[in-house]
Amino acid sequence: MKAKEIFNRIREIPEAGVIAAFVIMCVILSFLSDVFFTLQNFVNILQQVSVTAIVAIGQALIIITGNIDLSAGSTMALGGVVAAFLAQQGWNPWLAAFIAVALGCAIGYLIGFLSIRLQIVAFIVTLGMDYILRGCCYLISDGMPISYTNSVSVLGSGKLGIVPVSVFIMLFLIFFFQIFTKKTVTGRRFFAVGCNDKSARMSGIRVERIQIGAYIIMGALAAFAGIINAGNLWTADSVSGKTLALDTVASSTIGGVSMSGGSGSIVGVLFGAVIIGTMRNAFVLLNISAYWQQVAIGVIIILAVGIDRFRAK
Amino acid sequence: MEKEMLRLEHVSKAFSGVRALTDISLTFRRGEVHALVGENGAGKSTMMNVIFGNIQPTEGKIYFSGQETVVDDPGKAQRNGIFMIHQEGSLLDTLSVMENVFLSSLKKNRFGFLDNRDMYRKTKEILEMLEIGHIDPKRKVEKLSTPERQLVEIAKAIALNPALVIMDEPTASISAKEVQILMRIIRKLKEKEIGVIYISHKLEEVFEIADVISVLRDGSLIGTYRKEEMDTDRLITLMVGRQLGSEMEELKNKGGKEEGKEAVLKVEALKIPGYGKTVSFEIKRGEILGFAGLVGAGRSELFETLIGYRKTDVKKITGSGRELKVRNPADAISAGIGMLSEDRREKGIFAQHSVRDNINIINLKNLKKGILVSRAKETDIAERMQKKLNVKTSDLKTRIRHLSGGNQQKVLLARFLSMKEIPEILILDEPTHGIDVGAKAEIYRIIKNLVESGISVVLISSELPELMLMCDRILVMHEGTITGEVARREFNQELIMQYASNLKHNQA
Repeated sequence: MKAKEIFNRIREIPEAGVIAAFVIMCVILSFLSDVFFTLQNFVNILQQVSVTAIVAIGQALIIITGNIDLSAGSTMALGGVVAAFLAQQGWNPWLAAFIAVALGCAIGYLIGFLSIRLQIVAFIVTLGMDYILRGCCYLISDGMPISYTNSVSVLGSGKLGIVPVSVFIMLFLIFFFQIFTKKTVTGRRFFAVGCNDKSARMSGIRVERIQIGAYIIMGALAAFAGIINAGNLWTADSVSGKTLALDTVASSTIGGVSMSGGSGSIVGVLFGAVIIGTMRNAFVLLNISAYWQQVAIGVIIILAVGIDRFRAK
Repeated sequence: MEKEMLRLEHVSKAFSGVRALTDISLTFRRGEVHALVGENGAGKSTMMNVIFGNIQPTEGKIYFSGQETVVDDPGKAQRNGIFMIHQEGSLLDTLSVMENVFLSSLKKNRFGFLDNRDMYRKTKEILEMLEIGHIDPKRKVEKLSTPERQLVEIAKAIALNPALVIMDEPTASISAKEVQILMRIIRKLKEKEIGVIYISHKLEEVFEIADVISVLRDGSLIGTYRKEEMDTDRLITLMVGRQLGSEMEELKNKGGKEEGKEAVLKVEALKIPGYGKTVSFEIKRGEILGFAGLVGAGRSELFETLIGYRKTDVKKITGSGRELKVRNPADAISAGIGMLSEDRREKGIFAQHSVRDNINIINLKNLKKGILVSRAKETDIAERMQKKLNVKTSDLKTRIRHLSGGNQQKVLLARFLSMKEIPEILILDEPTHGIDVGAKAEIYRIIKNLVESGISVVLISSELPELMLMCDRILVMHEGTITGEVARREFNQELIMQYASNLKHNQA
C-alpha cells in the first residue's frame, strides 16, 4: 500500500518518464564503460548539451504555445557572428553581445509578426527565415570564421572549478524558466494558449502576445547560445548549428513536450537534451561508429513519443 | 406497425467489473419511433454502441428480424441496415457534400472513375426530400453551417437505404426551424417503414415525435411506455429517480420583477460583422435577459462581438455613464463582462488540462503568494468551487475532458464565480446545451442565485421553455437585428416565434 502510494506520487511527476529513462541509460552504460560513471564525464556531457539545452528552452516554449521554430540554428549562428563581427570592428565586446541578443529578440518578433499576426504558417515562416538568417551570416562574415577571443568568451570557455560557466548558465536558465512556466501567471498562460487558443481568448488571455512572446524569448536565447558557442570554440562560424533546430525539437519531444501544444516541462526538456548528449557520449566511449548515433537518436525520439501516447490513455 | 426488427434479450455489459448495462430486454419495430431517454451516464450510449457493434455485450443476445446475430463491428450493423447519426458529426470537412453522402458507397461509372453526375443527381434528390435543396451537393462540408451539417448527416444515413436509424441528440445544434424539418423527415422515414431510435434530452421533441418511450437509469431499463400513457412530469421523475417538479415550480415563481431597475450596460450601437444593421439594447442590474432567435439570427455573434472576440467597426457601449473600450475579451473581463460560449469544447474548456487548472485560469493573478502562483491557494479555491457547484469528479487533477457536459459547464461557471470580483454581467450562451435534466436544474439554480446577488445574466438559448422559465424579459433576434422585446407577463411561444421569423416586430 505504502509502496503503491509512492509509486503513484512518482507517476504524477510529469518528468518521471524521461528521468527514469535517463537513469536506466546510466545504469546500463556504467556496466559497459569504466569511464562513463565519473564526475568528469557527466560534466563533459552537460557542457556538450548546454547550447542545445538553452535553445531547447525557447523551442519548448514555442511548441507549448502550439507553434514551431525551424530557424533556431541560424539565429544561433547569427548571434555568434554578429557579436564576433562587432567586437572585431572594435566595439566593446559586451555591448556587441547585447546587440546580438537584441537582434535575436527582433528576429523573434519578426517571426511572431509574420506567423501570428499575419497568419502565415509558422512552419513556412521559420523555414524561410532559416535560409534568410543563414544567408545573413555568410554576408556578414563573408563565409569565413571570425575569431572570438575577448572578455565575453568566458561565457563559453570559462570554468568555475571543473564546471564550465556555460553549464551554470544553462542550469540557471532551466531553473528560471521552469519556475516561470509553472509558477507565474504569464507562464501558465503559455499552456492555456497551446491547449486551446480559442478558449484562451475567451478567458481573457491575449493569445497573440503570448505566442509572439515565445518567439521573442526564443530569439534572445538562441542568439545568446550563439555567443556561448562562439566563446567555447574561440570562433564564430557561419555554418554552426545546422542541425540545432531539429535537435531542440527532439530534446523537447523526448522531454515530454507535446507537439500538439499545451503540455510539457522545462526540466523535462533538459533531460531530453541530456539523453541525446549521453547517447552521443556513449557511442564515443564505446567506440561505435558515429553513424549509428543518428539511427539511435531517431529511434529514441519515436519511442519517447510512442510511450507518451500510450501513457496519455 | 408491429413488425419486429431488432430485439435485445437480457443484454448486460460490464466494463472491468462496473456494470454499464444490466439485463436489458427491448424490442424495436419497423416504422416506429422509439425514444430513449435518461440522464447522462444512464447507459444510452453504451446501449447504442452494443446495437451498432462498437462494443460486445457481456451477456445476452441480439436478434435481427427474429434471427440471432452477433454484431461485432459497425460494418456488420450497417449491412443489417442499421445506421447511426452521430452527435458530434462524422463528416469529412474537406470533401464535398455528395462525396460525404456516398462515402461508403462511392459510385463508379463504366470506366472505373467516380460517377460524379450520378452522385450529384442522387444527392440532390435526397437533399430536396430533406427540404435542404438549397445546399449544393458539390459544396465543401467545411463551408456549411452547423445545422446544415446535421441535416447532411441525416442525408448520409438515408442514402444507404436504412432499416433502422439511430439518432443521438440530433437537435443539439439546430434551431426550432430545423427541428421542424427533422420532425417531418422522421415522419417520412416512418411512412417508409423505417425504424427510428431517437435519443434526446429535449422531452418536448420526444413527446412530439415518439411512439414509444423507454427510460434508462443507471444502466437499467426502468420501463417502456406508449407515449399516450406518459406525461412530462412523470417522465422526468422516472429518469431522475426523484421529484424535480417542485424545484422547477419554485423557479417559475421567481423572476419577472424587471421594472424600475437601472441599466448596468447600454449597447448604443453595435454592428455584428457580416450583418447589415446595428443593434442596441440595455442590460439591467440583477435581471436575466433572454435572447431568442433561430440559428443564424446572430445571437452568439452579437455577444462575441460585444466582448471583442470578434472585430467590428461600429461599437458603442456605455456602463455606469462612461463609454467602455472593449477591444478583446481581456478588456471585457476587466470591465466586468464575462461570457461562456455555446461551444464548450471549442471555445470553453482546456480539454487536456485538469479540472483545477480549468477553474483557475482567469483568476490566477489573485492566487499569488509574492510573485508566484500558490499551488495551495489554487487547490483551495478549486475545492471550494467544486463543493459549491457540486462538480462531480473523483479528483481535481482529472482532465476536464473526462467529465460529463453538465460538470464541464459547472467548471466553466466556476471560472467566473471564483473571481475576486465576479463579473457584473455574465453572458451564458446555451448553458444547458446537451446537459441532462438533473444538471440543468442545478445550473438554473446557480443562475438564480447569481441574479439575487445583483449580477445580471444574459441567457442565450434555443429552448423557448427554458427562456420562459428563467428570464425577466426576452429579446428576439432575426438576421442580425432585434425584432422584438417580450416582458415576462407577455411570454408566449407563438409571439416569440413570430418575432424570430420576422413575421412581426416591435422594435426599429
